[in-house]
Amino acid sequence: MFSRQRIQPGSPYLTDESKLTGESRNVALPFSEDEVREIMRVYNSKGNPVTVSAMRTGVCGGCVPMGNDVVSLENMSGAVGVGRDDRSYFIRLLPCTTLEELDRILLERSFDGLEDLTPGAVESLSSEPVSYFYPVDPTEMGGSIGGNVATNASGPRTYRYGTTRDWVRSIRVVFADGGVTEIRRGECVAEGNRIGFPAGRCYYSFDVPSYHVDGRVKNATGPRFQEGMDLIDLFIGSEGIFGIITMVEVYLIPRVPTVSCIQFFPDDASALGAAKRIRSEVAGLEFLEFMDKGSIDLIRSVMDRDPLVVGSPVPPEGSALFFDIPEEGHLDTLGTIGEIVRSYGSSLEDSWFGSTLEDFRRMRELRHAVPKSIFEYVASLKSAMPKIHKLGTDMAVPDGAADEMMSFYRSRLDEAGLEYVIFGHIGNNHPHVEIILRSMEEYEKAKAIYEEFAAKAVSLGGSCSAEHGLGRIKTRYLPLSYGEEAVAAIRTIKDVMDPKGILNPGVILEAVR
Amino acid sequence: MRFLVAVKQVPDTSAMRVDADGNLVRQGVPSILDPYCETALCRILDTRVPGDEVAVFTMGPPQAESCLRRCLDLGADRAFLITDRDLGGSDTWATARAVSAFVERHCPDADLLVFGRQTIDGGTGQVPYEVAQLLDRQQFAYVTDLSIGDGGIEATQDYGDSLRRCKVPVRSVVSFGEVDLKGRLCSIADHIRAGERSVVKIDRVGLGLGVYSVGLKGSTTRIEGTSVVKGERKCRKVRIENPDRAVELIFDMVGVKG
Ligand SMILES: Cc1cc2nc3c(=O)[nH]c(=O)nc-3n(C[C@H](O)[C@H](O)[C@H](O)COP(=O)(O)OP(=O)(O)OC[C@H]3O[C@@H](n4cnc5c(N)ncnc54)[C@H](O)[C@@H]3O)c2cc1C
Repeated sequence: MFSRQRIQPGSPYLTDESKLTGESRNVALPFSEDEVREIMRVYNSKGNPVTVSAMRTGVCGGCVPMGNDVVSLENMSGAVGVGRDDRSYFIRLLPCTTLEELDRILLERSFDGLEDLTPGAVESLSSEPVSYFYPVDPTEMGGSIGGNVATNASGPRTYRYGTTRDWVRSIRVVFADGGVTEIRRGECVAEGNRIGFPAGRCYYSFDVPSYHVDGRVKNATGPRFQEGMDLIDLFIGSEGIFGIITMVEVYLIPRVPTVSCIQFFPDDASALGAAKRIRSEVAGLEFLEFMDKGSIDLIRSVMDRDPLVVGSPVPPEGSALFFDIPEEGHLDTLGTIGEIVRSYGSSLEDSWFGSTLEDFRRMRELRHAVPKSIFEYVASLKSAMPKIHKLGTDMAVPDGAADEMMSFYRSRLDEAGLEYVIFGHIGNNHPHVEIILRSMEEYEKAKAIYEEFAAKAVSLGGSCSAEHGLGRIKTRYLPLSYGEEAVAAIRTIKDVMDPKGILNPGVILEAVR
Repeated sequence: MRFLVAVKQVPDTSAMRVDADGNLVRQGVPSILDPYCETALCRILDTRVPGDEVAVFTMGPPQAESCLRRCLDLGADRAFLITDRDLGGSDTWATARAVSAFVERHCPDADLLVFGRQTIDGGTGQVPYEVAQLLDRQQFAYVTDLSIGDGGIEATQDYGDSLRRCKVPVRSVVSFGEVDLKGRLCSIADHIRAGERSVVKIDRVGLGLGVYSVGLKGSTTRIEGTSVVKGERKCRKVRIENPDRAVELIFDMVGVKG
């Protein structure tokens, strides 16, 4: 019998980093895949829905229960084994292993007790001259690998390495009825627009919806379907609505020695102009991040109280670009960047350079302090305004539409008199606009403008949710992005996979009325 | 003014973990420029005026060059790496002997010898004062502030319960007692300029020392054992609603006048 506990009011199981709050009476706490299966059998037999919860760092309320019980995977963490195939080494992880833990295991090479998934893999990885790493970097290292797969997480390094999807080798999934299957990329693909697979005593099959997704734009707006799709892609980015991921294998690559730089600019326009040229003229960037003047002001205002950044130097006023480049040949690259920044009113004197892990940590945490302080600020408003939650955009657009989108953000927010900061993945035309709310009136106003942003992003060929997923908060963007027909098609698949609708109801697909 | 700053490369002890068996996990722990040394260097870089020269040196394995590179990035003008297999295993006295020989042979005209109070790895806090002794220089420990004006060099020393402001004769040994919480990052331009400066390597022969004066052979320290010293703490729990009253109480307890 699996362990189940009562949930007390105010429990962390009732919220995530979106600060949306829900309700629930019990949390089931499985320690193994078998227990997950048992839980699903029990709940499915009674038709009782569950919400899957991992580290609750999600920002769209996907793990927030709305009255039903929670299945928390927190006790299923750690590395299981290492293997190697034609592509590279891979590591097998339990679903709630955090990225921080994964990074530590790889950096310290603490492979003791890990299974050889292919002969000699553990020994061979231990004796590699350089340590290996998992390159997807969704900045929040406290998130779990299962959560990352469920939301197809991505981040700054997507610029160079793509999204979680590109690094998943295989997963194990427990279905609503407690059946389980292991899916390895390449082993089960759709024939045209029909896909079918066995799992336990069931055989699932369905038509692949045929909405268009521009592969060049970052997109985590629901699952990715396409003709000839791989079955694994049904579960990557579908936020737990089709099954619970109980094991993940991800590929690793050798750590590339890099150097980190933050270049300061007098204003946002110069930083954005320089970003464009750096993207087109500088090869080998690991990532390219933007922090507008407001973000830098925000960092400066928390420098003395946020333990994360208290050990960092204070950035000068203005805006900034943050990038990593390979150490090899970095002086030449910096020479090119120097010429670019000079033509935008800055100079390499107005910058920070880092070559040690401590420098990297300082710069990273400075960048991370922007969303983190906003999340904390929203949390602090909750007691006075319980209905409020964070309003930050997560939209990406194609290259040609980046300027138009940026001016749209600014003009609409300025007209409305709302305060905001803009930061994030400028290298992928994916900045986050965080609206700093001060009252419920502002919240309502901002919500309306947010809808305009989403519609604009879609009209420009972009995505409404480029990396955070839809969760509960952004379900309306599914029809906005792909049309009602596509939503109906996804609902049909949901009915095939989870006929009683017990897995994460209300996530991605609006709760059935 | 010619400043000569001693630095050391150390494992980042804050990144070390203790495994389930209670052993320190050293694998994957990065080497860093010791924070006390970095703070000392930064204080000197902040003190210097145009025309001054700041040189740094370290004694260590060849990889220690990377910590000197960091010093050059931060703004040091010259760097020396004292490196030789024969120097391996030096205790504090043998280290002080090598350092003193280096100063006498390679930087005899340094106006101020600067150290951090201790390093975060060994943390004996002996080398600066042994060097002062060997070179017969005056020593100023626990310095928190250094200024140079018409009246010469002045330092503030923090003795824990009192501060002492004193004049520092040229050629003294000064050790800074603090670590700056806010670390420093150099600019890209600093880094490019630093790339043009080289690190001078010096071996045992270059120090003019025999094999028996340095390294393991020159070290008389024997570690008999280590133990954890347990400090006794008194604890008193008080429940106070009023923050002002709480502050007063803390001030009373630590003997500060509010
Ligand atoms: C400061 C901050 C910055 C962030 N920056 C980024 C960023 O740059 N990029 C980015 O992509 N995200 C970012 N995030 C969001 C978050 O870290 C990711 O969404 C992460 O993938 C969530 O992982 P989790 O373990 O916390 O999942 P949870 O929040 O617990 O769950 C997220 C969703 O996944 C489902 N789920 C979780 N585990 C499983 C599983 N094993 N099987 C099936 N479904 C599951 C849940 O039901 C829920 O729908 C940020 C968050 C914070 C707080």
